[in-house]
Amino acid sequence: MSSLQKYSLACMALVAVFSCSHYRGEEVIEDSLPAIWPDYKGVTIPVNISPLNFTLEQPAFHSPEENKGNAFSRLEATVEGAGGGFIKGSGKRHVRFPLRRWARLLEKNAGDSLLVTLRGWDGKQWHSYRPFTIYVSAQPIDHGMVFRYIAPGYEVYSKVGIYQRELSSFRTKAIYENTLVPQTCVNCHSFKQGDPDYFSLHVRGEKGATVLQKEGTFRYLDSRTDYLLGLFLSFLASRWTLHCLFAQQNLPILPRDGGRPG
Amino acid sequence: MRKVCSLVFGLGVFLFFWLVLPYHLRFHEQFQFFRFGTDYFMDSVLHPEGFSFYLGGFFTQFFRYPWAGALIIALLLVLMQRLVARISYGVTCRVAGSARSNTPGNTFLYPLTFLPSAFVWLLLCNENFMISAVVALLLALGAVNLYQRAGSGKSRIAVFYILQPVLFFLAGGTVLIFTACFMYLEALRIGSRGRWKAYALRVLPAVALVFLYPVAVRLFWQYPYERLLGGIHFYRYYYFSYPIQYVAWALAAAVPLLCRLIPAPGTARLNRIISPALWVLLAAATVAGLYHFADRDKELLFAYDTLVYEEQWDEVLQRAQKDTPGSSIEMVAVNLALWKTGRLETELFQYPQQGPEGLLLPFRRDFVTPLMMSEVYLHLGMVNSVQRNAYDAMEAIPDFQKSARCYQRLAQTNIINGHYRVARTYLEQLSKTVFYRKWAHETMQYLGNEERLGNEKRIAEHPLYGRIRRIRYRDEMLFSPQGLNAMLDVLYRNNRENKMAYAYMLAYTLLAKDLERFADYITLEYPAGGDQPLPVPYQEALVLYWVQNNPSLEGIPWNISGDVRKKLDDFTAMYQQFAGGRPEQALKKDFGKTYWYYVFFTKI
Repeated sequence: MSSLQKYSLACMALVAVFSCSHYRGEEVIEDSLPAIWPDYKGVTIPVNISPLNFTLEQPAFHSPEENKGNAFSRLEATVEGAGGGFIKGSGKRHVRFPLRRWARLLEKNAGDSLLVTLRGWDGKQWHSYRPFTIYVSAQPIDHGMVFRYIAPGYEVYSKVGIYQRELSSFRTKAIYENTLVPQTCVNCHSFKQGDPDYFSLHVRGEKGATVLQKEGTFRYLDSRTDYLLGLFLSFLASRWTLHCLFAQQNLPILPRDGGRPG
Repeated sequence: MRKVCSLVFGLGVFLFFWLVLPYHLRFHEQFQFFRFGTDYFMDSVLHPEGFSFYLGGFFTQFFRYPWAGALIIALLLVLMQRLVARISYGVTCRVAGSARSNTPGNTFLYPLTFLPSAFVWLLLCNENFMISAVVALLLALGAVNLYQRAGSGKSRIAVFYILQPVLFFLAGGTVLIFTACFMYLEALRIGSRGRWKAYALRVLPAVALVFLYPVAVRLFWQYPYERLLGGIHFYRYYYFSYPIQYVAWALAAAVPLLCRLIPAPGTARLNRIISPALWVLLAAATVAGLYHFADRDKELLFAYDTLVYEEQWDEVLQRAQKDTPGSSIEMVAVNLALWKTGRLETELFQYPQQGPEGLLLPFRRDFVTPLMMSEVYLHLGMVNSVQRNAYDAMEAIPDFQKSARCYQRLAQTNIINGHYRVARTYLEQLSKTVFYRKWAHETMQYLGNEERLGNEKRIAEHPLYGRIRRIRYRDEMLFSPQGLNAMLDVLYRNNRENKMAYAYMLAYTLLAKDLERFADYITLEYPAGGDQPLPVPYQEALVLYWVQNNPSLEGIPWNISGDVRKKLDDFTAMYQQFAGGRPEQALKKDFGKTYWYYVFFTKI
């Protein structure tokens, strides 16, 4: 073996050793529960929910310079299942957990609980908080949800959209954004008893229209009345745009049975 | 010589934007919010045309200083000219398999290489034409250059087909320029050899692809097809088309072709004449175009807005004396400046008032008016109205951008209202900018260690936050556009220290010609029978109010000066002299700056 190969192997071994280890040293035990946000302490969660990432509400200092040395520069959390399994999450400001391992841990501990221990690195040593519990219900949550995303303004809106989110992950997809048909706003959207085969969405504005999906067929309603003149105008052009959009989005995306995707 | 020409052109652009339209550049800067950091970068570039948008934002942030903005625009336009010149003249590629070189452009047409830059210069006089459009155009010309330098074999074609989709994603529809240049440059390479089948095989897929990219992009992002090809971030009003910008595209693509196609004149004499003639023609057309495109009225409006934001009150009044304010929003700035310099009560009618809207403009769903009103409400102490106007102004920005100025204002209102955590989120974003970072860090000092308590003592001592906390509304208040004077009344009665609310309340009633209410309000600070001297406009209003109900000024309970009494007599006499005619013009000379003239001759 050449000396170059030897040095390379030695370097790789060193990198492997140091990348897998953390400074343990002396650990400060904090005699309190961590002030996490969102506050998941003691909550019960459905078995198929996406990872409960969180942040620690740290004391806020005047400036980033002052923050140095006073706030944690790294957070680490360990999650241990009462029924077995163990995962770790970490981050600078937010603790994030790996998606698939989280899902496996929850499945393994359905009907049981998880114990979360949070630690923070202040640049010199680790601070460890009292562990808290999260209970795992065996009941799954719906596959997804549909929501409107809008800045909390007063009476003016900017970019607005209706999105669907898979609740067992963070996968989010736009159903409609007002970049597509400019100067429109969307609000009302509903499903018949949660069934995505029966879906309605109203796009407001000069080029708006009401889209109604019934058993996989789209209809564009002209709901204009004398009282609502100007609110429910459906232009042919925008109809076509909307039709292209929904055809392109290939609705229904949400499965009818509400189960997790395979 | 060519470099000198570029330098002179650049100097012209620089001086024009720095000296003639500096506030246009400030306007650009106010309605963007470029931040450093991975989040903003990824959010921006992972969109069609996102890279040119990001670079455009990066450049626009420097427009906070008009000289810097003017310098950046000058450099971009000179770069554009140099790129066009390089495409036209710079590269002489060997035609494969022959010793012939590809025909470079005719040098006597060199002035034409300034044409695209000069046209973009004109377009930039429109405050809604975005810098990202210039960046996208430059990226397209840069891509043409890269393609030209990629050799003469298959590698050149490969470079084109690699660059084409990349360019579409980075710079949107300007890929059309790239494709057009590719088409004629390839045609010129083939020349007279007639290998048109090979040419078609090279070019036709490029033409098809350019129209297919938007279709592919629409699978992932929701934009109309025509916007994807015509530009998403090139014009501030995303939903309006700005077709004249495509002339710049056409020029950028066509000038190198013209330089190559137009043959040199037969005689040397003619050759010597054409080039200078083109220079003169181009210069004259540019000057005429600038005269046509540069909107001085808008520049004045933007100047008022910026000067109010920067609290340069004397400058506002100097401008108002130089150029008569033409709109209500400008009068709002002038009246605020009058108050801030202590002259509102005495000099209100020295300026051409246009009614109460020139004092407090009703809310409008645009991104300019509410910003100005947020400044007025801030000084009045109407914190929640400041917040509403600043937030809605930001939301009304037509191209969905945010505004650093609005973020700054929202951080302030949240500090005043004690919402420190919200204020911190705004400040954290501002600290990722170049020019607001220092301010954000300084302002964070007022948030304190305890988020919920804040640094109350320091805030109380702050000249702005402390003052507004003392003079703001004590109780819940419903904003009523129809009852602004009543709102000012409540504000003033909540805290008598708020003299601005009182002055604005009186000014509002004067401008609304509501003398009954004025006479009612005036007694709050100037009780009847007192000998406290009244400002002249107040005296003029009170004598008018008195003579409407009394035969003479006998018994008027306010301290009216002899000058005002005499002036009223003169006004009455002159008015009667012209009765039945048109006294407006005759009275304007001597009484144009009196309240009486406003009452009788200004329509509101």
